[in-house]
Amino acid sequence: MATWGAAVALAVTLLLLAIVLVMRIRLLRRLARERDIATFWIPLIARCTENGAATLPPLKRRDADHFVLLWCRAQDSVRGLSRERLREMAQRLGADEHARRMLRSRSQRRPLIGTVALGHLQARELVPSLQTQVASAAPMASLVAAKALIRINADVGVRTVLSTAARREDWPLSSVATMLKECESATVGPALSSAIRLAISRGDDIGVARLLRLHITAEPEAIRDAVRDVLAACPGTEILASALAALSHPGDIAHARRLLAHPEWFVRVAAARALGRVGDANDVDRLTTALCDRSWWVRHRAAQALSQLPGMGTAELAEIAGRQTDRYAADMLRQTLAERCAT
Amino acid sequence: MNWQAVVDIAAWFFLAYFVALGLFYFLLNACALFEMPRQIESGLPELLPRPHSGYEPPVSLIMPAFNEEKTFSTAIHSVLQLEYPEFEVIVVNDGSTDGTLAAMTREFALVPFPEAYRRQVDTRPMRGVYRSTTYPHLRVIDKENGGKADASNAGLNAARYPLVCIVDVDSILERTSLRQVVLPFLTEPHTIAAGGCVRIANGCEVRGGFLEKVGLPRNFLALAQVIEYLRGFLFGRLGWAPMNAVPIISGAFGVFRKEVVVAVGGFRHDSLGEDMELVMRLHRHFRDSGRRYRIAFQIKPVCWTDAPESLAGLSNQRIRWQRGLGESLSQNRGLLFHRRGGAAGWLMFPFMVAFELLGPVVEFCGYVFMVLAYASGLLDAATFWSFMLLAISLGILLSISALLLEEISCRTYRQPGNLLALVCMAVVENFGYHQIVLWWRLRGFFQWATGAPRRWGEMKREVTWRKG
Repeated sequence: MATWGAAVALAVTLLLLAIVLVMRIRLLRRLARERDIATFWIPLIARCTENGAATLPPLKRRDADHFVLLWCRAQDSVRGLSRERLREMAQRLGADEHARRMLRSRSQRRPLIGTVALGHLQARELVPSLQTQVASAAPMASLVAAKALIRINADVGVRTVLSTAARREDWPLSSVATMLKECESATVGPALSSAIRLAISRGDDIGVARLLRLHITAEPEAIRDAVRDVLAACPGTEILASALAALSHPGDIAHARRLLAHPEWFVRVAAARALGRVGDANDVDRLTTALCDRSWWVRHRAAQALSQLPGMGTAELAEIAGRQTDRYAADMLRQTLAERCAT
Repeated sequence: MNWQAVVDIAAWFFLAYFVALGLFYFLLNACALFEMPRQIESGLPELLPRPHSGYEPPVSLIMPAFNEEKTFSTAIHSVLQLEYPEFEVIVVNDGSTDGTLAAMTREFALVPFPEAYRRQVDTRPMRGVYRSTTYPHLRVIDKENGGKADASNAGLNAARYPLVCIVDVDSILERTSLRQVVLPFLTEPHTIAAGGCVRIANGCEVRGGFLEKVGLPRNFLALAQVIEYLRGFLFGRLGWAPMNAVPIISGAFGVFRKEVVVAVGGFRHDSLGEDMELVMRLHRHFRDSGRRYRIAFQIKPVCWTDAPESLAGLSNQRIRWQRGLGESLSQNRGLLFHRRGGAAGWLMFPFMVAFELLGPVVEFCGYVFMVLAYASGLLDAATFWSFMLLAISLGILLSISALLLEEISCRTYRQPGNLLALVCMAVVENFGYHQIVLWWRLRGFFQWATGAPRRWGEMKREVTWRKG
């Protein structure tokens, strides 16, 4: 048994070793080829973004995959007219047709690159299939499809992305926000507001909280009513905290003041932060009281909010710290004062 | 029963154990291969929308330091240059007896800071808090000596952000490592901890906190550890990830949800393997309460660490690790076959006991027994040499399979000579090095089993890879 076991182990070892060596040789060849392609095409791509393409050499089929990837990177780094020039360049080289062929590939990577490229090329015929692909279980495939969809048709894309982002926790909000930031805020604001209201009507608490966190992608005024509706509806604590983070209009300050006394500490934290943004001199006493909160975080945010209130200088903060009888409150204010002086 | 029968039964037992060990590791390899494409796919960031800053949870980086006067600078500069939207660095000077604090004060222009310190986890008394005037997000906590766990707990108390990342002061992070290791927290809300790959920095070139060139060490012991780390991280940890049974997140580089660590009481002072113990405790705690959780492991984020290049340093480390393993498992034995234990309680824990904790004992006994039985004529030459061949070929197989995983995923060592050196070492380390490490692990096992007094031991750092 031992002899057979050793023989099998050695045979498998040799097989694995052979695979490692073949993979390494293929990798080195691929890297060398990609280096050559980049050396040749990157200067041409750069020239096209600045002046447009006058004459272009033919794109060899075996170079096309890596060219498309380089072209996509260039598209992500430019704006306006340069994007148009790059599109023209790709069409003249036949890279659009190559990207369509990539979509049909069985590999994992090529269809994704093709999708991104066709999004940049605004291939409108792809909209229905992209909408289907957004629902794909694989996060990478769905996000790539969403990015392409927004590039091709911003209205349809934003609506699809928001409704999907509300329910897909595997979509990082940082990526969703980047996609939405590329669109006109006039498109995003109303769509976000409708999506929040729809999620409220469905009782989708997680969705509401996720959508509220996207507030930075829209004009505050466009989602103000939706945020106010959420705050007035007294929903779950997670949603309240998210809505307070989106609160940015001084007219809604009453909600922040009311929620500074909420039983849940993280709602009080969010309320203190909101008061730091929209509060006024009337909030000094309220925030000074919050300095004695049993939660360290509430005390911390209340001290920061106090320091952000209009007209609150170092001397005023020192004066408030000096008359504190609560040691925790005084310590926290002294820390905030030191941080303020350091910056 | 005569002696021959006893020898036959024992020989079959050791043979079966070695085969089972090899098979289990090979299955872990298969699991790692299953998990790898998902992680490689997420390694195509150029296709995805670039992350918009402001959504990544802010992170507090905690760096416990004890007598690191000569080494802290590179590590701290490396984390200060991380590509991450919001983070703070908390260096905890754990009662150093050299000039660590004075050197830090000079290098980072530290001034006393009136911190409103929160005591959430018990630690040794704090002496003071300092803040850098050149790097506003760097603070230094000075406290009485209490060990690495105690220093990490002091960092937890001072941390202001929801995620804490523990980083060793003898390690450096790549600039994108933090962003990558935090990914599971963004895509899976139930993630409570995530770890990244730790690799050997010896042989690399590091300047001003930046890794400038990846290379392999010339020192034999350090090169052997490169293979060990590949095995340990690429299938020893990644293999358990799809089952949510990652047994350990390295103390050199791991991110935790702070409220969860505080809720379970922070790092334990009475364990030499405080990193593994915490992960085991988190598994036990969450399995006990039936709450959904995930402990993730990522292959892309990398932390480069200093490996001991002397026999004394390496033996000290390995004895400590084996002892820490024993302590972690015994302190969390409630996880073993827990009715809600899942893969962590029914697969990972028994595996760790049978093959990682008891492995050195059985393996050592196996070698000694086979040699004695052969020498006394109770075992024929064919069986003896077959056993030896099997033990060594399994070792080589596991090392080569780790190299295959590395080739599929990261391909860190790209120079052709590097691959050749690693293949040679994957073979050579099985003749001598493996057996020496086995002996140290056995000593660690007996120190744990007999309850010998704990000591961290002196680490003499060579640090040949820092250039300035």
